[in-house]
Amino acid sequence: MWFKNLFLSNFRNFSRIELEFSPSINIFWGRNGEGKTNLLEALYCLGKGKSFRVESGEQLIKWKEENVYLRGEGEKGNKLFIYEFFITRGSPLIRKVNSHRVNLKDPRHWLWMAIFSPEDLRLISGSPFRRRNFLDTVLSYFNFRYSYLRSLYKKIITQRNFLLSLAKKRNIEKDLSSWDEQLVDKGSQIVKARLEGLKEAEPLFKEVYSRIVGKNSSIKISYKSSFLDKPFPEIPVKEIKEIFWRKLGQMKEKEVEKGITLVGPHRDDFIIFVDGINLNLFGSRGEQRIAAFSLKLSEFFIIESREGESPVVLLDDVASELDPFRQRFLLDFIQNKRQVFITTTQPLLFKSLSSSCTNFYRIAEGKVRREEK
Amino acid sequence: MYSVKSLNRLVGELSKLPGIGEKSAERIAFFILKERKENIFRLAEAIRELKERVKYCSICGNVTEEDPCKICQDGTRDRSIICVVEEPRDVFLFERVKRFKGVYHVLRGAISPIKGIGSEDINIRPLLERVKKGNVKEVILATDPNAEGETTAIYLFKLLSSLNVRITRLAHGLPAGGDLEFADELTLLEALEGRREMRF
Ligand SMILES: [Zn+2]
Repeated sequence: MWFKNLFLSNFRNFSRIELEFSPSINIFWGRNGEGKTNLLEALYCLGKGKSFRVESGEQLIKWKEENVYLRGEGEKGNKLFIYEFFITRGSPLIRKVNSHRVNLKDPRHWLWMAIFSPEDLRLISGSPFRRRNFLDTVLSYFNFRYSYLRSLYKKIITQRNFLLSLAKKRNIEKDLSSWDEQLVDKGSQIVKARLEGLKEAEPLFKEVYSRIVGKNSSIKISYKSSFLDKPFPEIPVKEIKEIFWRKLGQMKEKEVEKGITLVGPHRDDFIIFVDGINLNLFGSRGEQRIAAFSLKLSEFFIIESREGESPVVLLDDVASELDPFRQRFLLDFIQNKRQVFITTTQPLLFKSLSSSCTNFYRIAEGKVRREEK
Repeated sequence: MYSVKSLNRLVGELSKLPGIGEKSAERIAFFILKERKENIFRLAEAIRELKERVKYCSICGNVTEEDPCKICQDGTRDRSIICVVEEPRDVFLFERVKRFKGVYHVLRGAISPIKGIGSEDINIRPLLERVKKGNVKEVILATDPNAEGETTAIYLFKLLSSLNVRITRLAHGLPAGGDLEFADELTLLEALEGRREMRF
């Protein structure tokens, strides 16, 4: 998959930009704060109907302007598509493919993207929230039911927490039990899908990780549940539910006291063990970064194998965060991929890339200028 | 800044309506200002009449001008099947599909702690009375397939399951996490015909 071109108006700090891209490597370079990442964000919106940085579309509209328009031609499965994205203040986002309005969340209409940003390197060292979010995002890609469950579950938690917070003022027992049913039902299905997903990802992750560190290690990704002692992928949903109910009963008093839901997949996590060592807790900074990078690469390979072609790769200022050895690995990785967009403050890092298929763009003062090397 | 008091007041009222932001409210207000008097008075009268004449049916809770409503009065409808929906507009949706020949029960809301709506605040008790009277064979729980609608369905299921009645839930395939409001007629028909015994 790849983008041939991009037209944008009033997106973030840019008024009007029109660009033609190389089918292989495109490098946006310039000082920090010039809006390099905004260009990646525009491509991402066009391909997937949302930003990777903010929830609300309004934040993408240029200061004092009313609407954003993005347009780009992209190729997917050897077919050409015209993608359009509209943001208007106070109105819902609109995405069109070949002039037809499409559901933003429907992966069938995406031009797939895999983004690597500096925060991703904290996927292992950072908070469980990051890892849950990563897991949920990847699982949602190919499982429409999962993304439905996930959005339902989020609302259930919000409602149930609110109800729990009222417990001190009035009797909530009668209403709470219906929310409990929902929590356990949807929560258990989420846990089951995550367990299966991690099982599928483990060998892929292992392969990528071993290749980067240059040796074979024993690797295990283990799910850490707020109510299952020893989660294993084959556990039937029925059993998950039973254990969930039991734990919920035990925690009820505490939940009422704190006014929040303490049991369920929204409190879960996963841990990476390398040669028996818990990398999340005891890995070195370097090891944690490699593991994080490998996870993101696994995401890329999962998309690639399911879709049958490479997604567009967006590398947001990642190279400078890696040591030279890992940088070389990264360059090797991107050399034989379909299309890559890179933002950097140090274009010289990419000097070794073959010049015939690499485009350089200089970003400064709200303008983008294509440069001959 | 230049402003006209009564115009501001209208814009303020209009922008409280669903789906209308300040910009659209302004546009409508200026349209009203320009439009002929009798047309606008007719609009105002229609709004007044709606609020004065329309009440809730004492049997099913739907909006109606006469009590009981036309559907509850209609002898050709099958009163042994009750379709439970959240809002009066859902009845309009089902009626448009035309295939449903039973009667309705309108809850006028769904359980939502955040909105301050508990099980006591929606039209549930009259439904229980209707089912307890007997002659009801099936209750279709057609609340929205979102968190609040599902929870309301579970709540009702628990209440009704002790009574001798078949309880079904609309099949999914409805817009994920959404409202019945956004379902087209075909999807709604499929959901209705594919309804399944509810279990929990
Ligand atoms: Zn009625």
